[in-house]
Amino acid sequence: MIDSLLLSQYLIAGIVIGIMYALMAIGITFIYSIMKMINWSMGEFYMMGSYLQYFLVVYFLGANLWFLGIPLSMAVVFVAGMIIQRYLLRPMFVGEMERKDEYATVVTVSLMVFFRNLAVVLAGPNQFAPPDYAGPTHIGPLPVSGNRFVALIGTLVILGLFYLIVKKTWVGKALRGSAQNRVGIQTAGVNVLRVDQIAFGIGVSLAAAAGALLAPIFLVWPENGAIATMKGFEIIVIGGLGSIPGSLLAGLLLGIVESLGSILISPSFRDVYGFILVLGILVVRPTGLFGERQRVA
Amino acid sequence: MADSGIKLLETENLTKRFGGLTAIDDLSLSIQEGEIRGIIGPNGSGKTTLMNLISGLYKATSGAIYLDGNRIDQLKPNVRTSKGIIRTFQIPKVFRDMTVLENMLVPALSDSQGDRYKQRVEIVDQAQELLQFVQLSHMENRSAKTLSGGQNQLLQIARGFMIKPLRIYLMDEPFAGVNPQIKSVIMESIKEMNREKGITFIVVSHEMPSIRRLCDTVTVIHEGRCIAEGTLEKVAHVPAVIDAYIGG
Repeated sequence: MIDSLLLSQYLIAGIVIGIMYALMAIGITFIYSIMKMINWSMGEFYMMGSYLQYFLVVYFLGANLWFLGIPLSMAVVFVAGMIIQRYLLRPMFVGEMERKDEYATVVTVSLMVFFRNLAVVLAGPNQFAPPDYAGPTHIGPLPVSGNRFVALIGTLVILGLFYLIVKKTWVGKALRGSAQNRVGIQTAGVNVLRVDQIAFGIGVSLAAAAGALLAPIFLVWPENGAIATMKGFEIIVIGGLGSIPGSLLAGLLLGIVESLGSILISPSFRDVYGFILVLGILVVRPTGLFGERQRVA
Repeated sequence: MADSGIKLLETENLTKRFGGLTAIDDLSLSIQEGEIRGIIGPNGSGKTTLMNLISGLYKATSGAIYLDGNRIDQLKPNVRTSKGIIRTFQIPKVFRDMTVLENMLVPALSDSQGDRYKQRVEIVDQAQELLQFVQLSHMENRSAKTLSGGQNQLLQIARGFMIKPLRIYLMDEPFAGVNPQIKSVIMESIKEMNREKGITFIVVSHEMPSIRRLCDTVTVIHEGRCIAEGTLEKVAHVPAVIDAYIGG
């Protein structure tokens, strides 16, 4: 018989990690919904965020000002994303290029390889850990790691800001318009290429936020983005490509399934539970929970 | 408003090929400022391709397009919009997950609209006035996806009127699949905007009664070429037009 307190603890741990997984997935799905391309190098922007946070906290800000590192890391990655989009991805939307998907795949997979190797060259293959963000705390009667608690709150704040930007600002209207009708937004006079650039910057800065928030938990090393990317894509399959509410719900679902699988079956197969969930969703609803069938006109 | 005799839009030997298919073939057109020009032709004759070329969604294989004598065929669609070339589509390109009012505000995001932050209240007022003009004001807070096809067409047309400057309005099959009441609102909107604001219209349509009521001049396109031009009554008796429609 499993202790109910232990079960609740794992359930909360699943919810916490699920919301953080969702941050990464929302970044991927946000870029897809506007640019209609998959960014295979999302994990490397996560990795950049974690390195930036580590170096900012350890060498510049100090352990007490760790929270300043997160917006700074996001800002640096946002700018880097805008530059990368401008020079490497925009050419696929200019002119009448065929095979856009293949172009985007080649460019973003190349970026993945490049950034991983760049991290090894610049910082070596070692693992780093920034100082803990907070000591152990409680959610209700349940003890929870301070780093995870901070990551949860940080993620919720960032998701709240993301929601406000997308729903309540003029830039958000342009982003939503581009996602809903790319031809319509161009003929309404909006420069869709600039919208793409902003969207790519926002998407990769969400990945950087996840990397910065999770740095003390999952550590900092050149390939730390690989797991986050894998989880991100699992979530997108579960939630439906292009659906932000779907990503949020699927993130929670994946976190809970992994967590409960670990306690009810075995923690050794943690990643397998997520894949079983993905397979189950693909059988029952191939477009994901919130995905829509696309009609090609 | 009668046409002014001033050339507003011209196409010069415009050609568009898709592989082996020539959709627009060496087409030269001249539209006068203040005119309501009808473009007619059988299915597949190249009418929508012409709209796509003028609005910038397609690049011409060869030839040129001029607005006010300035060449525009190398410009991106949003830049052409900022120069005053606005268009609608047969299947309305509305933002389905936005409200009707939000849809109207999207053109305010374009570069040509100046400091939108200072003008926010005026922009909303203008949007509401235009919604009243096309009789959609009672739906301004409804999601666009709840609107009928005809109402979406009206919304799309009203959204185009939000863009400043508006020199020439390209309408692709605005009357297709809409009920008579909405058709009449669209007709009146075109006539009033032409009369009061001097906006030039190019209307692509299969609806001959509507074209007859709106347009003094029509251009007949067949296999990408202009085969006749003049009043509807005049072109209806041109043998090439009769052949094109009945397949002679």
